[in-house]
Parts: sequence; structure tokens; C-alpha cells
Amino acid sequence: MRGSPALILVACASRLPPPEAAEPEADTASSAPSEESGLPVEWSIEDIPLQVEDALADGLPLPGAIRAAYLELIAAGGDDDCPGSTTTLEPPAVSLEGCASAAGYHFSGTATVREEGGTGQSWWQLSCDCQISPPDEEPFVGGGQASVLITQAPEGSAATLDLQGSFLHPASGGWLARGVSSYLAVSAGEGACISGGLTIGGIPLFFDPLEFDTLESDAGCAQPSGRLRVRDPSGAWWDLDLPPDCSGCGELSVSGDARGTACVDLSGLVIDIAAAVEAG
Amino acid sequence: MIALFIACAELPPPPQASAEPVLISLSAPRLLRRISLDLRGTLPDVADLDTVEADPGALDAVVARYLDDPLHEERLVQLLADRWHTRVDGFDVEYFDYGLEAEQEYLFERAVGEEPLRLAARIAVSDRPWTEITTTDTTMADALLGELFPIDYPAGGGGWQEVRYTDGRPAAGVLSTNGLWWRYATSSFNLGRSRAEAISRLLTCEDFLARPISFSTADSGAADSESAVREVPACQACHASLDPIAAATFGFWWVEEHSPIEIERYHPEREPLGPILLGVEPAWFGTPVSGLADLGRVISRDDRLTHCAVRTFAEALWRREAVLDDFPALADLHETFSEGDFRVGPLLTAIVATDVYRAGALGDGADDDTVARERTTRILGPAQIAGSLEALTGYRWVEDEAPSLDTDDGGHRVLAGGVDGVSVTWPQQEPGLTWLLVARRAAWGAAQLSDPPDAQPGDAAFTAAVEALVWQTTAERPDAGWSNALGQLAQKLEEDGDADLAWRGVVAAVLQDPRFLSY
Repeated sequence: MRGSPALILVACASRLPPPEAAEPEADTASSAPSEESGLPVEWSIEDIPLQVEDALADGLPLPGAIRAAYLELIAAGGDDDCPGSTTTLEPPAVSLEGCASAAGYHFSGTATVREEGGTGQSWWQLSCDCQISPPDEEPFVGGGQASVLITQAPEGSAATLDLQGSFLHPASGGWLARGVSSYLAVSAGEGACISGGLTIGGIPLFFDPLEFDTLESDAGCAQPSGRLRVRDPSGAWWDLDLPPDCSGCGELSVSGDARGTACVDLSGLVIDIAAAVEAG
Repeated sequence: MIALFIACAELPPPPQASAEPVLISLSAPRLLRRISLDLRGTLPDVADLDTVEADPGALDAVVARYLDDPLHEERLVQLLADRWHTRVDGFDVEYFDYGLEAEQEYLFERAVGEEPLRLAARIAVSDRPWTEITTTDTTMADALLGELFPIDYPAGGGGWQEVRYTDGRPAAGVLSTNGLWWRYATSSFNLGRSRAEAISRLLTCEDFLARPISFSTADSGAADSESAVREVPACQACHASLDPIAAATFGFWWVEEHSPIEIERYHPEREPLGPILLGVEPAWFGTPVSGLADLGRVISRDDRLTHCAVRTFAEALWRREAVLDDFPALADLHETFSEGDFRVGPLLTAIVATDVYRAGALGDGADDDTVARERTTRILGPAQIAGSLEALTGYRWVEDEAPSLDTDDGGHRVLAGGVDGVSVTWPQQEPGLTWLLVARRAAWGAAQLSDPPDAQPGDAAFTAAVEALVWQTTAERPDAGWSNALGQLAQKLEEDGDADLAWRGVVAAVLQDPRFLSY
């Protein structure tokens, strides 16, 4: 599914209006949920901030850490014969069954890192369906893409960070050690916007989207506005609607049913985003 | 040979009085043989043949026992595979992606492809309602899947077991199995619609692809295809129902379809993408659903699910598609199914009791449509050939660690009349050249493993052994002509070789006989 249009569709700037309801068929139509709809939730209101905090305990998963882990492993264990490149895993050096380097690293799958820099714009992209297994260490496993696009303009720089797929590297520590499944896009300029979803430690989140007014964590409002969704183990989604009042507090609902108020501190996210933009 | 086959197989009896039925039933032993091959994939036990020969009324009790036979579950997997098409010889992720050896390719592909089939079969043989196939929180896995998939397969366990995924996927029975969605993949353009089509076709027999579409009407100058499917009436005829189903499947939306870590796991964070990308909320034919689990529950309440099960199993056992004239019979079968709390056992019992199933010949009153439609003689499929020969002699035709009659990757499944799930999607109905060649090769292979009797051709004991063989394999008592022909063959082979060659030659001849290869 490479080249998916999904991120364009969920990006903040082009946030979609509420999806239209399915066109009902004849007289079988019903505007109300089915009798069976509406899953009983397992978590309580008090659980939601704790789950969000747990999921994001190691920061917001962003593309740079994945590229860094990937390139460091090739640099540490690769050689001219296997994988035969400092950035790429591909045949013939890396066959279907993979290859083993002199240092005892095993490389399998395919991966490329493409990078371009020019006047006013730079970008890189890691595409990976790969596994790198150091000796006596848990492997790096990836399937998907990570990319960063930085655009320089007189009025300031803008960045787009995409992370789509599944990545795991226990030796890296942090969220990459826990493994992440993601379909996430972050756009940043004066402020930032996070859209899409991620699952870390078995906790699925969806940013629908969340917007920060500024990347300066110590100036102005560091809490985002927008909707943060948290998936209950039952399969239902908790929706936390954060108003633009910098409080970090908002109404919680499940399938449109108000459940109360909750507060989450998401100010750390903007620090992660600012650092990622800075790193490029 | 093919002409001979057609000529010999199940010749109708001579015309009788005008009261003769249109569908003339098989003899009790021959009917038992058909039932055993259909419900167990192998020949009936000789003792059972003897029983129903002496007392045709004993058939029902034998059928009930066969439904409890462990082979029945295996056979259900085969029958469902012919319909659901998940036993394919390759997925986007291959054995080597998991570091498995080439000898494990077959085991890997079958384990993945059989996951949804075995879940449905397990529900059937466990006397649970068929409606559980879209609601249960379990799946089926063998030890190999236990190593590869995020499931709670017991450490040290063996064989197929009912287990649970541990990656937070919804409880939706077969709709939550990797095996189903590895077979029915999607793309960034298709957006899960092919999966929605598969759900509808496999579970409710509603085939979107069979709906007529007026492309001239559809050509309205919509800006792009995504706009067209939302705006053009001709497109909406299908997409109004199709897209909301697809919207509930995005937990199985993969970024990289060749990556094990991507496609072996459920991605709950992608569930909200369905409504965003498709522009519709999840629903099942107009009934809103909250997600995949809810979709499974709503499908389980849709009586098309159980009507489709009736049709699916009836067509599998009748060996033909259901037609309009069958609707009364199908309605009766559904009533039986419903009265049995949608347990598959009573349904199958009712199907094998239908006149259509039991027909071995047509009466003079049969009209042209009936003659064209009814399968009074069926040919053995590859699984039935393999199962029968292994039970008879222990013979297994294996090439490159894979059963040759169960794969097309170096094997002969399609050549033997089987379904590969991609190019061939319905079992072969008529004898064909490759089917015959494979059957002959299998017959010779099995004959080599057959233990000769302690007798010489011409001896009464040898003749008795031949007659017992014919009875066991064809459920027919050989008449004098048949016995004499086999006796002469044995004596000729003994002259060319020895008594062992004579016996094996006779076995090979019987196993190539149309009365063995048909049922």
C-alpha cells in the first residue's frame, strides 16, 4: 500500500468534514445504531489520562529515531559484502533468505533511505520491509515508511513528519523498544498538528487531529486543542475533546455519549515535535 | 477411457412403469459410500457397508456416527476451502520472510489459509451455532502459527487448537483471522472494498460482482473514481452498501503488505481511517455498526448468513449450483437448520437425505433441464482420492515435502480436479484428461503398497480377496463378468511376473475403474 493517500486525507490543513452516513438501502435503513451496537467499555474515566500517559511515556514516536536505529545498525554490523551498502538492503547482496556479515549481523528484507537537499527544501525517507539481527541482541524489525520534509521560507520553516507502519527495536530503548504501530502525520510551522493514529504498548491512540498553537513549549499555550481518541479494550473509542483554552481538560464521550471530564498533559508532545524539526 | 468412464458409471436402470421417480436413489451401500466420501473424505468402513447392505434402514445411524468422526472436521475444511478459497499456494508474506525452510512452505501456506476454515469447521463439529463464525473471540492455530502469530497458543502444544489473538483485535470470528485477510488483501486504491465484497459473498451469498452495472450511465464525468463511487447512481448501486462494510475493516489496513510485522498484527489505531478515507461510517446494509466486532454481531443476526450456509453446504454436497427450482428444498433445509439452533450437523444430515443428493440415476420422466443439472455421478476430487488411497494402503503421494494432490506448487491439485482458490474456484465436475492421468498415477502408487493375499491367482482365496477389494473400494459386489476379467488380468500378470505383481495389478485396475473413481 505504498503511496497511500491516507495522510493527505487526515492532515490537519485539510481536515475532512464529518463523514457522511452510509447511504441506506430501501426500508432497511436505520439512523440509529443497531441494537447490538455500543460496546460496554472496560475502562473508567479515570483510566483515560493514565492510559494516554502510559502510551506516551517515552515521547511521541517520530521518524528520526527509526532512521537513526536503522543506519546505526548497518554502520555497526554491515560490510562491503553484506549488505553491501551503508543505506540500502536489496538484492543481490541481500537475498530472499538474507545475508550475514563478517561481524555476525544478519540482514534480510529490503530497505532504502533516500535523501535530498536543495535550496529551500530537504527531505529524507526510509522505506523498510526489513529485519536486522545483531549477534546476541534482539533484532530491529520494520515494515513501512518514515519520512521528514523540511521547507525553508522567508516567513519561517515548515516540516512534515510521517510515520506509517510497524517498527520494533528493543535495544533502542524508549518507544521503539516497546514497538509501535503507526499511521501518523505531523505538520509543524509556527504551531503543530498531529493527525492519525498509533499503538504503543497495546494502547491505541488516534489524533483527530490535535493542534498546538506554538512550538515554543515555554511560551503561550502548550496544551493542544482538538480531539484525542483512546481505544478501550472493548473496541469502543473514548473521545476527549480538548477546547482551545490551554487547559488540557475536555469532555469525554463514547460513541457520542458524554461520560464526564478528563485532563491530560500533552505539553511534552510539542517538545518532541520541536526537537524532531530541529534535527531534520 | 473417458468415454468408457461415462459409459460405465452409474448407468440408469431399465425404464419402469410410469410411476418411476425422476431422481432414482443410489443403492444403500453406494449411498453410504457417497456420504462417507462427502462427510469424511474417504471410503466407508467395510463393516458399515455390510450393515447397510443387510439393513438399509441402518444408514441413518452410520451417518450420525460419521458426523462425529474426526475426519469429518477435516472434510469440512476441504468443503469450505472450495468456497472460501483461502487454501492458496502463496501469500504476500512467504515462508522465507519468517526464516522458515523451503520444506516448510506447504505447511506455512496451509496453516495460514486454513485458519478461517478450521475455525468455521470447529464451530460446526462442536455443535455450536453457525452464527458464531462472526462473533467468537477465538481462532484456530497449529504449532507453526503459534510461533508466528500473536496468539496464546499453549507452550508445548501440538496440532490445531482453538486459541485467541493477543493483539487487541475485535472478537469477530473469521472476520478477525489473518488467514482470511491475507487471502483477501486490499490496496490503497481499493480501500478494503474487495474485502467487503468477500464478506458479503462468502457469508451471505450476496455477490456484488454479479450485479449488473450500466457503465454508460456511470459515465457522468465525475472528477475521479472516488467521487464517482460516491456520486454516480450506477456506482452507488453497489458502493452504497459496499463502502460502509469496508469502513469497518481498517484494523487490517497494512502499510507494507510484504512485511510480517505489519500483516500478522491487527492495527487498532487505523480503525478510524476507514470512515475518513471512504467518507462513510461503518454499516452493514444500512444498519450502522461501531466497528468490526459490531459488524460480526450484526452479520450473525442477519438471516442471510444462515440461508447462505444452507446454500453453501447444499451446493457442496449436491456438487452443483443451486437454481430457482431448488428454493423450496433450500427453504426446507433452512427450517431444519433453524430448528437445530443453526448447528451444522443436523443441516448436513438433512442435505444427505434430499432426493437430489441421493440420486444415482434419472428416470425416464426427467426433463432436459433436470438431465443437464443433476449430478447423479460425481468424480472423486483430489482430497477424496488422497484420503481413500491412504486409508486403503497407507499411500501418500508426496513431492518436496508436500502432498502432491493438495498443492499446485509442484503438485497436481488442479490437474486432479481441485480448487486452487485463485484461478480455479469450483471443483471439476466432469472427467478430464489430466484428472484421469493423475488418478491413474495415484492408483499405481497405492497399488505398490497394497499387501497381497496369501494365495495365488485362480485360488478361491485370491478370488475372494479380489471380491472383497472391489466391495471395499466401490461398494458394489462384482458380477461374474467383472470377477472373471480381474481374474484373467491376475493370471496374465502372474505369467509375466509373480503373484505379488498379479495382486498389485488387480489393485491398480480396480483403483482406476470408473466405479472407484466416481461416487
